Amino acid sequence: MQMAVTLLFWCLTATLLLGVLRRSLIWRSGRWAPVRWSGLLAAPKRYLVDLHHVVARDPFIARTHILVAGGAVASILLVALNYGLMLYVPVLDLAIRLAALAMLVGALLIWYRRWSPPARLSRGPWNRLPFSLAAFALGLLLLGILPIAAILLALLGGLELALGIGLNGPMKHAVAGLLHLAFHPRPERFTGRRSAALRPLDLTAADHGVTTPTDFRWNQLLGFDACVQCGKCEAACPAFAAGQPLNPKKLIQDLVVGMQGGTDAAYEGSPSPGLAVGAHHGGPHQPIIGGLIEAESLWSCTTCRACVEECPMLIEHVDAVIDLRRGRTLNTGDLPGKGQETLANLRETASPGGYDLATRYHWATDLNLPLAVPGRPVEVLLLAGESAFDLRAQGSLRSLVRLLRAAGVDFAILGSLEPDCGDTARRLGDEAGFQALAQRMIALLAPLSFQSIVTADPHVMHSLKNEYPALGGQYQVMHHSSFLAALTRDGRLRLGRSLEDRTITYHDPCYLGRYNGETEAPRALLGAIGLKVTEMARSRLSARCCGGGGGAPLSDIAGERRIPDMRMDDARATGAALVAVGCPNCRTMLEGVVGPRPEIVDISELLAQALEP
Amino acid sequence: MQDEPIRRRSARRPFTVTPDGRKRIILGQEGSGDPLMTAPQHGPATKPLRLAGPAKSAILAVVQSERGGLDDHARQVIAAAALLAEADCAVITVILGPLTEDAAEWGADRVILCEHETWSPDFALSLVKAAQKQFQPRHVLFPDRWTDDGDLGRRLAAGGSECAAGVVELRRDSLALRRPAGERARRPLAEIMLLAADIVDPALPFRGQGDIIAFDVPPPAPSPYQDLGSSTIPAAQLPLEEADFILAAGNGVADIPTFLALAEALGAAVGASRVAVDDGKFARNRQIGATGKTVSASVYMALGISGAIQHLQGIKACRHVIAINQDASAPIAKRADLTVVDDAQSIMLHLLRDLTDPGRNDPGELAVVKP
Amino acid sequence: MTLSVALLASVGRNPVSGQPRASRNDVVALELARGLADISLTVFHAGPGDRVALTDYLAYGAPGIVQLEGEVLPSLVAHLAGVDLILCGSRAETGEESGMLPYLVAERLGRPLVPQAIGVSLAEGQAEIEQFLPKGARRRVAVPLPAVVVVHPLAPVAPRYAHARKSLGRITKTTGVGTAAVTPDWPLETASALIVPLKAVRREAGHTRMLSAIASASKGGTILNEGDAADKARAILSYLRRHGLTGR
Repeated sequence: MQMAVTLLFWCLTATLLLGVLRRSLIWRSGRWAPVRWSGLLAAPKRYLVDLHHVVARDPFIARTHILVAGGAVASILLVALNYGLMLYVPVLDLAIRLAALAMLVGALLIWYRRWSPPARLSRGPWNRLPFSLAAFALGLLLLGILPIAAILLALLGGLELALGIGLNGPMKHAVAGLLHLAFHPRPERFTGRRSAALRPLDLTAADHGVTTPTDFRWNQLLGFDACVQCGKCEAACPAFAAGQPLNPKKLIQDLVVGMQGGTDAAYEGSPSPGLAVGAHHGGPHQPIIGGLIEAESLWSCTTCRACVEECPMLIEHVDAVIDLRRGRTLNTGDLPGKGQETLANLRETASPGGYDLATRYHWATDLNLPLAVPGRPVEVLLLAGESAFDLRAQGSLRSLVRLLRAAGVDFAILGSLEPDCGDTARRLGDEAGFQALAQRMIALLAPLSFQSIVTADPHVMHSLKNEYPALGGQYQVMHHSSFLAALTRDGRLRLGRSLEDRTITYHDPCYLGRYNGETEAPRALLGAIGLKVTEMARSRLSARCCGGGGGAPLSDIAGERRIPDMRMDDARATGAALVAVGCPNCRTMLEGVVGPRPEIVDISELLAQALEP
Repeated sequence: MQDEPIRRRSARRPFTVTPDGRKRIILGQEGSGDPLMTAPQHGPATKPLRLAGPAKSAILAVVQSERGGLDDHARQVIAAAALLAEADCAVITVILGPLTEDAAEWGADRVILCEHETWSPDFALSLVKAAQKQFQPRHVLFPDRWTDDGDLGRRLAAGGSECAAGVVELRRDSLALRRPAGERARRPLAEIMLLAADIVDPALPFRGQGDIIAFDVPPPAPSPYQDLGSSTIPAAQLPLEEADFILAAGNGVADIPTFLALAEALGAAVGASRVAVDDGKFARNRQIGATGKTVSASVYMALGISGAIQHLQGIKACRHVIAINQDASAPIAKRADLTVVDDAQSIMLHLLRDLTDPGRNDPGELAVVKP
Repeated sequence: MTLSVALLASVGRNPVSGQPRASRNDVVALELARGLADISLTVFHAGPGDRVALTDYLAYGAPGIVQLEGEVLPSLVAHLAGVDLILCGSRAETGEESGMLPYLVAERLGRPLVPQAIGVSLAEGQAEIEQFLPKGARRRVAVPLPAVVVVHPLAPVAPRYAHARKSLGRITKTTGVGTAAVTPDWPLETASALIVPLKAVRREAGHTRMLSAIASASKGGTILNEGDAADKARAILSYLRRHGLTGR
C-alpha cells in the first residue's frame, strides 16, 4: 500500500518535471533576458509577502488560497518526505491528513465561490478545479483508511496538479507563477519601489520590438503562463469598461496561445468587446497583430497600469502592449488615427502638436522668467511640457509660477530650447523618436546646473525621472504637487485658507499615482488650504484612468462609451462641484465631457488663490 | 475758445440702411429713411473702355473656364493683364473651354476660345504658341494652380522662355516669388508668369472690348495623350476635404433622413459637429472641427450648430457660411455670412420643398432685413 | 518584362520648424510607385542632399537612394534617359518651389507628361493615369511609355514611416553631369508687410471712395430674424443663387 503511494508520488513528480521541461522549451524560444538565479531563493519571500499583498485585497480569496495552496504544498512536501523518501512514519501521516483537511476546506470554499462567480473569472477548466483539488485532498485524507479510493482520488487530483504545466492546464500557474516570481522582468518591484519605467531598446542591435511571440523575452513568456485568468485586470481596465476592443486578460491568453501555437477557441472568459472568440490563431513564429491580436485592441490601451496594479500574479501587461506597439511602429509604421501625424510632428518639430517651440513660453511673456544658462546654478528647472501650448493649462502654469515666486524659489526655464520629453513617442511605440528626443534633452541639460526639475505634467516627470537614467540622464525630478508640499513643510510657502466653499474631489493621475506612488502630496496641499477632499470610488492607486495616456486620444479607437465620461460619472456621484486635477492631460480629457458636470481645476490654481497676500 | 454758436445738426437727417441693418447718414447723400432701401452703388453704370484706339502691343492671359464661367482666380489673371497693359496694349485672353460670361468685365479685349472636347494639352499648347507668334505679347499670364491652365503655363515655360512661377505679389514693375519660411524673392517681370490666387483685385474701373475672335490653329499633330473620360464623384462619397458644398448637422438636428435628403437635393456633402458624431448620428469621418476634418468648401451650411471654437477652426477656410440656429447669439453667428434664426427642422423642410418642387414658390430677390 | 520606374525625391522642409524632412508630396509619389507591380524602382535625388531627409525616404519604403552630384537638370536627364516611367511630386518644399522640374525633364527627354496623378496603372507599354480635378471630378487619361507622371499631393495612398526600414536601404552617391553651381537667388525680403493686391488706380472723389468703403464694410454677418420659415428658406436659396453657389 505504501509502495503504491510512493510509486504514485514519483510518477506524478516525474510527470510534473517532464511537464516543466516541456513548457520551459516554449519559454526558451523567447529572447535572452538578464535574470539572476538567486531569484529562486527569493521566490518564497516574494510569494508570501509581495504577492500576498495584492491577493490580500480580497480577504475571502486570500484566506481560501492560503488554505488550498498552503495545504497542497504542505501535504505534497510531507508526502515527498514520508512516501517519496519512503520514511513511512505515522506521525507524518497525521500531518499529511491535517494539511489535506485544510486543502479540502479551501477547495470547498473555491467551489462555493464558483457557484455564481463574478463575470471576470474564466469558466471552463477553471470550474473543474474545486473538484480535482478536493479529490486530491480527499485522497490524501483517506490514505490508510480507504486505500483504493484514496489512491484513485489522489491520482485524479494529482494528475490535475502534475499535468497542468505540461499540458497548459489551470494548475500550471503554480509552477509558472513561482518561477515568474523568481525571474520576474522587474525584480525591483520586490524592493518596495514602484517599477514603471519602460526599458529602452537597443536600436543599434536592430531590436525593433515584438512582432512574433518569440520576440518577447523568455521571462515575459513565463509571466504570461502565470496567468490564472482571474480577470482582475479586466475589471480594472478603463478601455474594457468603455467597450473598446481590449480585454487585458484576453490579451495575455492570446499571447499564451501564440507562444504554444493554436487558436483561441478554448478561451472561456470574457472576450475583447466586439471580437468573437475562436476567430484568432497564432504560432511562435507568426506575426501577432492581425492573426492573433487585432491592432485596435493594441491601440485601445491607455497605459494606465491598473491591470498591473491588480494582477495577483504580477504579470506586466503594459510592457507586453508597449513591446507589441514598438514592433508595429518601428517595423511597419502602421498607427491609427492621428498617431502617424503626431510622430512626424515629434520628429520634425519636437512637439506632438507640430507647434513652433519658440512659442512654448508665450504664456509667460509678461512674467520675465529667467532662462537657464550654463554657469549660473539655480534651485529648480521648470519644464512646461506640451501643455504650455494649451490655453487652459497655461492658467495652471501661471499659478505655479506665482507659487514658486511666493516661496522664493530660484528657478529658470529652457525657453524656446525646450523639446518635448518624448513620452508620447515612447507610448506609441516609436522608441527611435523617444531616444532622439531624450538625447536632445539630456544634451541640453548637461551644461546646466540645477538641484531639481519641477513640472506640472506627470508624464514629463515620469519620463525624466524614471526613463532618462537608462539613457544617461540622471536628475531629481518632482511633480509640482510634491515640490509644493515640500515647500509648505519647510515653511517656505505660506498658504492661507482657500475661499473656495464648494465641495471638491481629487482625480489621481495615473502617471503620478500608480506610476510613481504619489497620492498624498496633492491631498495634503488641499488640506493645507482647508479644502476637504471627498474621495471618488476608485481613488489613489486604484484610481480610474481619464483616458488621456498612452496616446489613446490620438489613436481614438471607438468603443461604446468614452473613458473620461465614466470618470466624470464617478465625480458626479460624489456630489462635488469641483474636480481638482494634477495633470494637463487629465484636465483636457475631463473637460471634454459634455453635459452638466463639475468644474475642473488644477491644484496649483487652487493653491495660488489661497496664497497669503 | 469758441464764441460762435455751435452749429447743431439735425438728428433726423435722412438716412439709408445698409444690408446688415445699420443706419447710415452719409454727407451729401439724400436718404429717404426707408429701411428697404439699400446703400446706392458707387460709380457710373457702364464703365469706360480701357483700350480706346488701335493696339501696338499685347499681353496674353490664358485661363480655363468652369461650365462656361470664370472663377475668381481666372478673373484675377485676366484683370492682372489689363492692369499691366499700357493704354495701347491689348489684352488677349485664351479661354480653355466654353465661355458664357462676358470676359470684357475683367478687362479682356480679344477672346480666343480653345474648345476641345477631350483633354489635349499639346493642342492647347500649340494654340497658345500660335497666339504668341501672332500677337507677340510682352507677357503671358497663367493662374498658378493644379489644373489645366496652370499645367499649360508650365508646359509653355519648359520650352525655354523666362518664367516666374509662384508669383505672390505683382506690381507694375516687379513681382515677388514665394519662398520658404514666409519670405519672398523680388524680381523684374518675366515673360511667362504664373500668378497665385488673390494677389490681384479684379474689380476694374474700366472694361475691355470683349471681342471673341476666330483663330485658326494649325491641324494638331498626332497626340500621345488619350482622354479616357471624366466623372464626378457624388458629393456624398466625396471626402469632406474636397467637397465644395457641405451641409453640416449639429445638436439641433433630430430628423436625420430629412437632413440627408436635403443634402442630396443641394448636391452637398454631409458633415457633422462633434456632438452629433458622439451621439452616434454620424460616422466619425464626417466630423468637422479641430479634432475632425478641416474643410475648405465654397459653401458651408450649418444646421443647429452652435459654433464652438473647435468647430469654427475646422471651417476657417470656408468662403460662405450659412448658419441656421434658434439662438441668434450662438458663436457661429459671428462667423456666418448669413444667420437664419429659426428651427432647423422647419427650415430643412421648406428648403427641401423649394428645391424639389421649384415651380411652387419663386424665390426672387430677398427683401432686406429690417433694422 | 519589368519596367523601370524612377522616383525623383527632393529634400523637404517642415513649415513650422524648418527642419529637413522627406517632402510629403514626394513620399506620396513613392507610395504610389511602391504599389506598382512588376517594376524595378530606383529613387533619385539630385540636389543639395540632406542625410536626415534622405534617410526618411528609406523609412517610407524607398529601396535605396541614388544621390546624383553635379548640376540638377543635366544629371537627371542623363540618368533618366532609359527609364520607362518617371514619377515625381508636384512641387518641392524647398528652393524655388516652382514645380517646373518635371516639365523641364519631360521637355528635355521628349516625353509626354501627365500632371495631377492620383492613381497609376501600367499595361502594354502605356500608363493609365487617374487625374485629380477640383470639385470632386476625376479624369482618366493614357499615355504611351516612356512618360513622366506628376503626382498630386492628395493621392489616396497611406505612406508609413517605419524606423526599421532605414537600415534596409542605402544611399549611394553617383557622379552626375556638370558641377552643382550655386545660382544666387533673387533678393529676398521678409514678408513683414501684407501682400498688396494689384488693383486699379481710381481717380474718384472722396465721396464715392467713402461710399465704396462703407458698402464693402457690410460684407458679412447678416442675421435674419424676421419672417416665417418659408421666407427664410427662400432667403437662403436666394443667397446661394446670388453668389452662384448652386446649380439648382
